[in-house]
Amino acid sequence: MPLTGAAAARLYDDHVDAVHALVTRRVGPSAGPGVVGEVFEHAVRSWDRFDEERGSERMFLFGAAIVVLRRHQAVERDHLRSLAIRHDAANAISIADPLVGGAVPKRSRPESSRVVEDIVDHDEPEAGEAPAGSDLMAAIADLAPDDRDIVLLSLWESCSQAAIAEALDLSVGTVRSALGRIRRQLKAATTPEKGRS
Amino acid sequence: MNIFDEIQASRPEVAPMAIAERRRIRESLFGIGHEDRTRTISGRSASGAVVSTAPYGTRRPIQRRPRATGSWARLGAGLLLLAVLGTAVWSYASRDDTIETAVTTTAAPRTATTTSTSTPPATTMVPRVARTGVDTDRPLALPPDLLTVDDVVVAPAAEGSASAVFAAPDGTEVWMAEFDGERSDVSNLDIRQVGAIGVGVDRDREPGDRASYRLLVPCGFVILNDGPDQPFDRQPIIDLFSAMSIDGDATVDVALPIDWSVVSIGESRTSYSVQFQVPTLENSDGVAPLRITQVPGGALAQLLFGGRQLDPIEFLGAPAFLETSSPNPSAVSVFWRDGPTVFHASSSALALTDIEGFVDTLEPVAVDEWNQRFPTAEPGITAAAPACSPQPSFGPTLQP
Repeated sequence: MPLTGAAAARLYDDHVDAVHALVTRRVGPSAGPGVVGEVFEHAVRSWDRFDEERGSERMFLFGAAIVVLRRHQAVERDHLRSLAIRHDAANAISIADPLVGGAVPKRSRPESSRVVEDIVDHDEPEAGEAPAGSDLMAAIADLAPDDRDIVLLSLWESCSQAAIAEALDLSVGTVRSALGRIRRQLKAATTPEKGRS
Repeated sequence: MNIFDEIQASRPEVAPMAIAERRRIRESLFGIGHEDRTRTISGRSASGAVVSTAPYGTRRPIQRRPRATGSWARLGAGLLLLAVLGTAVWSYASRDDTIETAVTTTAAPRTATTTSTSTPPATTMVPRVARTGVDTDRPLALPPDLLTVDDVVVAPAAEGSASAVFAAPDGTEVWMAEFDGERSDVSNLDIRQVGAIGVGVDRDREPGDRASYRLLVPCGFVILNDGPDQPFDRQPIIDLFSAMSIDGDATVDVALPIDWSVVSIGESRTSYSVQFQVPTLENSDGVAPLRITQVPGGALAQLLFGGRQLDPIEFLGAPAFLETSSPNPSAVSVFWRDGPTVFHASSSALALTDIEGFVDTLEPVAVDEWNQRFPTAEPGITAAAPACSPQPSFGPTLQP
């Protein structure tokens, strides 16, 4: 049974900003609004799958967004490659790594960021290992869609591992191990000796 | 910085969705006007203005008018009875002969009496409202029956014109529009500064005149009409003016005050209007006039020209608005959006349920089909662009 009437409009009003931000980060501002419409259309049509005891509306919508973004993978990859990471050493920040945990959020951290929950991987970053931004974004664009969803939900949307698991219908353990694997994969892809040709 | 730090630091900042875009998507998904009286969203637009997108409908929907005796269902039932009785069939067949064909004969005739009033479905709204079934390829709707047509008006879009409707904190609809034109004539205005803008009112206004204001721009004009029976310079309007800006390019923008919201914003688009004679048993001659105006790609604000006042209703199972400010108490005037098109149906002789019954029979057609059926409709005169500069426009917050 699709969600209808004022309830559907309320869902839109409550979450359109979050969905718009997620989608626009992934496909860019020109494609964003159209995709937002698709996300809400998909969400209200599949509303019978929403279980409020199991998850939040926001993560249900994020899950819908992930489904819809699959239809726009080419646009997403092009957009991600076009992004250049601002690499301003003076503003370099140390942001909590979902795999490290406990890092102190600094002023540049988005306010909506959540405190990282688990300590899974104690692999501390090493000086000089930060890759060039454009290479990193290309590597993200080249990730398998599932992996890209996990890492960007975690790092761009500040979703907890449990929330990601909810949105993507995975177990928390799967998300946790995927983050570790993705990090190693990205590091390999962007380290000059290994990743650059 | 480790690699996840790097990704997080690269997180693109996203400005809130433009107010007009937000509303466009909302309307395309859920139709215009929901009975959602509790929600208000505020955000900061790309221009920095704080805007409110409270969904329209801060008042309770009105009850439908009682069903008129000449409803479609009664018409159908009457015909069925007559058919059973036999002899009366001939009588009604003769009545059909009085329903003249429209200006074209291409469509196969279908007796209007075969239609009946549909009951709204149990689910009162679906994400995409079917109603007339119009879409971008077939953005207009016409009855399949060939009915008598009183007049047909196709009004081309006014180049450079746009309009907006705001809902004031008390629920009053406030209409604003900008029109391109030659140098503005302000000789008949009393002008003063309100906040950052110049505002003029008619020097010769009479008590009881509608509170209408001109915003000072070099060319063309920008007008704002308060609701009927509202006094000049009431505080909410002053607050609205104080939240407005007009820059050197005559761009009008507004940071909506608290509790104000946008009902509709849009640029002028070509409108298509037909007055049909719709069969009914109510009148002695068996028909009643019903005008339907359609604006593909348009905004409700265009149909609310001058500042009509609205109440949210349900119309054919989906949100719509009923005009409450008509000077004719017997007139029924309903507005709604289906897909890309906004509609206005009005009649002084039909009840809302009768209008619903008629609209329910409409079928989507392409513009070419419309032109084929009403071949003399569209004027080909294009006004020359005014030489004066800068022409007024709506700013980022008000961009459709």
